[in-house]
Order: sequence, then C-alpha cells, then structure tokens
Amino acid sequence: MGKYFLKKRIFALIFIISVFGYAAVNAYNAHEKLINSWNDIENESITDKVVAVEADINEEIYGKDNFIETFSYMNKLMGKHEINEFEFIKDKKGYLLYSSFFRENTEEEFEYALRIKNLKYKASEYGAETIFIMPPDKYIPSVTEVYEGMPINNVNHKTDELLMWLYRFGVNTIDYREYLPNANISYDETFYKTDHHWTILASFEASKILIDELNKKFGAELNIADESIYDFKQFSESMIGSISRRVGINFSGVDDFTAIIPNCDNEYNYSFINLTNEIIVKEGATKETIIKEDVLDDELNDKYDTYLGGMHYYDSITNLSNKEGPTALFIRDSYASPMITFLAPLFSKIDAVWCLEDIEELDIEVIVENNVYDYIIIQVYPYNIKDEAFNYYK
Amino acid sequence: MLFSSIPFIFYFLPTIFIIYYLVSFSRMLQNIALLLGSLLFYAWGEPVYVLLMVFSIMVNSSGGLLIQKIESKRNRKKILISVIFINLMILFLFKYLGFVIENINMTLGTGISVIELPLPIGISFFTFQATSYVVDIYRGITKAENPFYAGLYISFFPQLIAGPIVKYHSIAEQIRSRKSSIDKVSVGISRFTVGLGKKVLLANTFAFMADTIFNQSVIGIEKVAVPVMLAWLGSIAYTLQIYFDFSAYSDMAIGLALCFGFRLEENFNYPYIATSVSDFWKRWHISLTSFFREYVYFPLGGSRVKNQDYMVRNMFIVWLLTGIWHGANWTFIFWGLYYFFIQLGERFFEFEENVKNKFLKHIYTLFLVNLGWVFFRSDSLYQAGRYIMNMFALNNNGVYSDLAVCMIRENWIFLILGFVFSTPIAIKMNDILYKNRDQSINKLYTLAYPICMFLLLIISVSYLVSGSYNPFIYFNF
Repeated sequence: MGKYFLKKRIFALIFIISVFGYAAVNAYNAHEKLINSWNDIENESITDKVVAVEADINEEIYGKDNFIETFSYMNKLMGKHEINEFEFIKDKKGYLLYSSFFRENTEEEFEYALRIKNLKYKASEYGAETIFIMPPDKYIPSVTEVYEGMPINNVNHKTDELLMWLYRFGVNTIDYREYLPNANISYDETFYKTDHHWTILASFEASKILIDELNKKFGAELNIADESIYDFKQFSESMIGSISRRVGINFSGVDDFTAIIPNCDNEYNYSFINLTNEIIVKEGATKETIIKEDVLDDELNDKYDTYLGGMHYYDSITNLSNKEGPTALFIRDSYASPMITFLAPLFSKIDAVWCLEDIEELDIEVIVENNVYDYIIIQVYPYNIKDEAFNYYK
Repeated sequence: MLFSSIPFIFYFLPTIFIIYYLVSFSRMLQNIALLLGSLLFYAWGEPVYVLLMVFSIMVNSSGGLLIQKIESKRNRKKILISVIFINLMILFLFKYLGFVIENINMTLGTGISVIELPLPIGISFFTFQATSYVVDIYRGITKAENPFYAGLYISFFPQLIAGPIVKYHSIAEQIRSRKSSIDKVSVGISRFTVGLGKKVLLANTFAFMADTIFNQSVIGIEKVAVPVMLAWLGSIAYTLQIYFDFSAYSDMAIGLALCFGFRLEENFNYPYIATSVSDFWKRWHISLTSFFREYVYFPLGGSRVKNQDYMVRNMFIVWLLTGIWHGANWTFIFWGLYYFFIQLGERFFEFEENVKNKFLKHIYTLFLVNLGWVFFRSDSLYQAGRYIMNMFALNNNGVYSDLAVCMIRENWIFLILGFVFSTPIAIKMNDILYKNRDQSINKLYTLAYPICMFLLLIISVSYLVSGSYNPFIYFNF
C-alpha cells in the first residue's frame, strides 16, 4: 500500500509545484492585461466582461510557444497529416493547406463582382483605371497531392465564378493562376510550406506581370524589368509562416526565404494606420520607410513582415524621388504588401486600404472619390472572397 | 467554468486550493470558502444564473430547516411537497417550458409565443441534489444544515455542472467532519489529471469525429446520405466520446472533491464491458440510476410488487423520467423508452441466464447501446432514423468512404487508446505491477508513474493552449 501512495504522492508534489508555480508566474505576467481588459469594456454586461477576460487569459499564456511546440511535436510523433482537428492538412510534399468538410457556395460572387463593377465605373468618372488581380491558391488540383480522403478546401470554383462575372461586367482582371507557377518559377518557389502567402519571388514576378498589363491595357509606360535595382538575399530555413505560428514548427517545418529589396536611392514619405489604430509617419530612404530590414536579422521568424512592416489598415507611400510617376490605390489584403514595395519606385504615390478593415474612418468610396488616382488595383486572395472584402458600392 | 480550461487549471484551482488550506484551522471557514468558490465557479459561465442557484439554496435550506422543526407529519409533508414543487418548477420553467409550448403549438395549431430562456448549466444536477436534501431530511435519514453548509452541498463546484449526482445522506457527514490527508490530495490530483487527459486527448478527438460526421448527414433541414462506413464511424466515435467525456468529468470531479477531503461515489464502472443492457445501466451514470432508484423507483414499489404490471409501470416511469432528465427533446424521451423496452425484454426473456455466450452478449449490448447513442446525439427523431438507415445502407448510400479511412488513419492511436481504456485494462495492469514481487519492476513503476502523469498533464495543457476542439456537451442537462 505504501508504494501505491508513494507514486501518487510524488506526482501530487510535482503537480502542485509545477501547476501552482506556473500559475503564479502566468498570473503575474498577465495581470495588467487582464485588469485592463476588465476595465476597458465599459457599458457591457458582466457576461461580456467575463468572456473578454477569459479570451485574454487564453491568449496571455506564459511560454505559449513552448506549449504549441509540444502540441506540434505530439502530432508529428503520431505521424499525422492534419493538425488541430483538420484546421490544416499537410500534402505529400509537406505543404500546409486549408481544409473544409463542406464546399462553399458561390451565390454571392455575382454581388461582389457587381460592387467591383460599380467601383470601376465610379473611378472612371474620376479618371482612374481599375484592374482586379487574383493571386493563385496554394492548392492546385493538378499539382497538389494529398493523402486519401483529406477534406481539402478547394476554392477554385469561387475564384472562377468571381472572375467570370468580372469578365462579363467588363472589368480588367489578372488571374495569376494562368501565370504562376510557370517554367521559370516552380511550385516550390511560388509557395511557402508554412505560410498561406505566395513567396516574395512569386510576388515579384506578379508585379512584373501587373506592370505588363498596365502598360498593355492602359499605356502606362512603366518598367520593372531592370532587376539590378533589387537585391536578392537568401535565408536558408529561416521563415516561419502564419500557419506555422499557429501549429508549431515541429509539425510544419520551416521555409527558406528569398528577400528582394529595392536598392535604388528613392526617398519616401510613408504614413500608415496600424492595427492598433495608431498613425505612424516615416520619411527617408527605402530601408527607413517601406522596408523593415531588421526583420531579416532574426534567425527564425515571419520574414514576410519585411515588406511594409506587416499588415496595416491603411498605407500611403509618396515617392519623393519620382514626383512625375502615376498614382495608384490598392484595395488589398496581405498578399499585396511585397507588390506595393516593388511598385513604389515606379509610382509617385501609392495608397493602400486593407480590404478587410472595419474602422469607421476608412470608407473606400470616400477615398476613391476624394483622391486622384491613375490606377485602382483590387487584390483579394481566394480565401478572402467574402462579403467583408467587398465593402463598397453595394 | 470548465475543468478542462486554462482559467480553471491556472487561476481558479490554485487559488481555491491555497485559500482552503490556509483556513484549515476552521471547518466553517473552509466550507464557506468552498461555497463562495463554487458560486464564483458557477457565475463565471453565466453570472445572472448564480442568483437562481442562490434562490434554490435558500428555498431548500429553509425548507429543510422547517421540515426538521415542525412536528406534525402532515405539515412536514406539505412543506416537502411545496419545496419539491418549487424545484421542479424551476427545472420546468428553464428546461422544458419551451419544448412543451412548441409541442402544444404544433399539435393544436396555436400560436403561443415561446420565451427562449437560456438553460442554466447543470440545472438538472443541482435541482436533483437540492431535492435529495429535503427528501433525506424528511425521511429522517439526515439532519438539516445551516444555509452555508446546505448551500455548499447544492453548489459544490466539482460536481456542479456534470455530476456525479450526490445524494445528501451520502455526504452530509463529510460536510461537517471530513479529514483531509496528503494521500487523499495525492489520489485526488492523480485522478483529476487522468480525467483531464481523458477529456482533452480522447473525448475531444472523438467529439470532433462524431460532430463532423453527424453534421455531414444534415445540410440545413435536409438529411443527406452518408456512406455506411462513415455512419458507423460517427456512431462509434460518439459512443466513445460520450463515455470518455462524461467519465472524464466524473474523474475530475471525484479527484477535485478528494483534494478537499470529500469522497464522492463512483459514477462509471466500465459500462462498455457490460454483458447486457441492464448490466450497462448498472455501470453507466451510476449516480443518476441510483438517484432514480432511491427517490422514484423504490417509493413506487420497485420490483417487489405483487402484481408484475406495477413493476412494468414503475420501470416505465423511471425510464421516461431518465429520458426527460437528459433534455427537452423527443430524441431523449425516445432514448429513455428505448431502454425501458430493452430492459423489459431482458427481464421477461431472462436474458442474463438464458444466453451463455459472453462474446455474443458483449456484441449485443454494444450494438444496442451504440444505436441508442444515435438517438441521443441526433437533433430530431427524423435525423436519427435517417442516420440509422445510413448505417444499414438503406438510404441509397454507398458503403466505402475515403473520409472515414482518412479519419481512422489520422486518429488510429486515439481510437485504439479509446477501445483499450474502455476496458479495465489499466486497473488490471496497475494491480499486476503494484503487486509484483520483483522489487525492481515495482520500483521502476513507482518512478515511471509520476513521470508519465506529468507528461500527460503537459500534453493535455498543450492541447488546451493550442486551442484544439474542446466542446462542452452538458448544456442540455
């Protein structure tokens, strides 16, 4: 009987020391945030306050990454090809993809296309040309191989539907599925295993294709072909993408990263509204404004943030060295951040609104009508084809 | 608040544990600390309904005191009936009123508006406990307590939202005089950790499989065909889910209670190794069957009645109530009556005695229990019917499902663990290792146990932190 209790006593001691000790450190670490979040919610019911505090408790876990990596390792150990109850699935080459047990309907795409058409006609009244660009999805049926029965989220039908309606409405489009991957840029160079974005290399290629289209369709006379004004830097096994941060690198692995940095001597005035609603203004050379090069210094991180320093509600880049260039408005998601950086030297001004923003101060209709743009570039990646991304001219 | 949540494990539990042992010089203070902790625990999920809980405590506590004080048997009975009536009315108002009005409207074509009241979590559990409190005092088995102690019995957080249902006479003595010990705390913490692991790693995995597959069989109001393989996998996954979820909650409840010196009765005894449906119900949710046996079946006369018709009537009432207790839906009522008919059949045909083949008995029991869970899990009897048709290829559905293959391939470890831990193999292994005379094996086991348990804890917490699927299935109760 002594041994029966001895083993439980030893475990109870470990439990009390570890759980209670950790609880103390964790509470100390999170207490300010929790108190603030309780106090910040004014005029709300106690239930709402409890929900908010509980969400923060779950978020503000001390050493959260270590727990996620443990979870990640367990999944790897079990040889799984999906993680977190099919939140993401891994294809046979190790690319992490979205999953879905249900095929989404395409009833709304007509309405979204109609809004884009309305925007195009409104913009044309102010002299702007509109183009819709659609990045490719990581899941390409003819290329991607998944394990039997995996419920892949294939949104190509939504993309097709939207592009079909835009074609009928006479909106210029670029369907990047037709261009990427290609003979020069393979699938592996187009997508990250651990991130949902296209690679910087693919984004650079996409920028060239966009310029070609602007030149061909609207006579823009822009030139991005001179690659000497860009530095290419390789970082081996150093990129952890958004999916990887969610599921842990033990399961996802890490990616190589190629950074393409404009090296021309342009001066910019760059202001943006970040995701905490602060307005930041920067002025100076490329690396002091639109490129956040210190992101590349870390051995292992999300290097996508090199471009514009991550996602913002609103960006406004004025190229002080190219005052004669055209102007553009991007209504975009995070896919466009590197593109905007690559195109900045060619334009005198680029404004960008995050298509999913929901702050009152930013009304896309007002921005279109109160500014003078030569081009309006709407970019939405396939999984963002939803009502919030087309919040204009309804 | 859920046991399997970060706020509970890293905020609530350490705080209440430390406070409880800091005031260990006074039983009264310890009980008050537990009562306040329990009310906070309940209020965390739905702050308003803590008032309902306080109301229930006040009514039953005063009722208990009055029953004890009044000498006239007739008046005592009146008070008992009044308190039980109030308890049942609370339950009816919050849990069944909408269902009853909906059915009246449907049957009579009336348009009585339904007030949609959110169901207070655990209302069926604490109402039954409150009823047990006054009944036991009325019967003279136990004495009435002061409102704090009565309140602690009704609202004690370890068993508040998912049981076990504790009969008052089984715990009355412990509220006043219980002994805490290092061994009780050690066993309690170990039991809690095992429960946490069962819930987070096994029950949640099976829950995802079952929910996905049951959802696949419904699109809007349409009930669609799913392949035979997938339908069976869904029903088996739910069979495993409900056992591991419910028994895990009971493990955690029993473990936590032990940490505070209370001994609660066991609620599960490996129900899936039962050799008949009657045997299954001796092993499944033992506290509920025991409650109905003691407070409904026996007072009605039980089985010891001269006329067997009364026994059938008594069984019918108990199983009808069992169904109704689980939720306000025809699926639960059907599920209760389903077990009534099966057990009646087993009695009349003397199944246990007449069927000798044990393997056959296991298969028979698991088959019927699994089928029963389909009714329990479905949103309506129609869905249940269509789902069962899927299972037997009667719904113009195919047999093979690559999704089923995928789910089995991805979760085979959990499925095997689920099957293994549905049997008492762990206890048997424990006995063998613990009683092993070879000292080195014995020592190795003593050393390995805390390490394995600690790993189980870390892995369970890592699953919680990662935000993996963690449903709470007792909203209906």
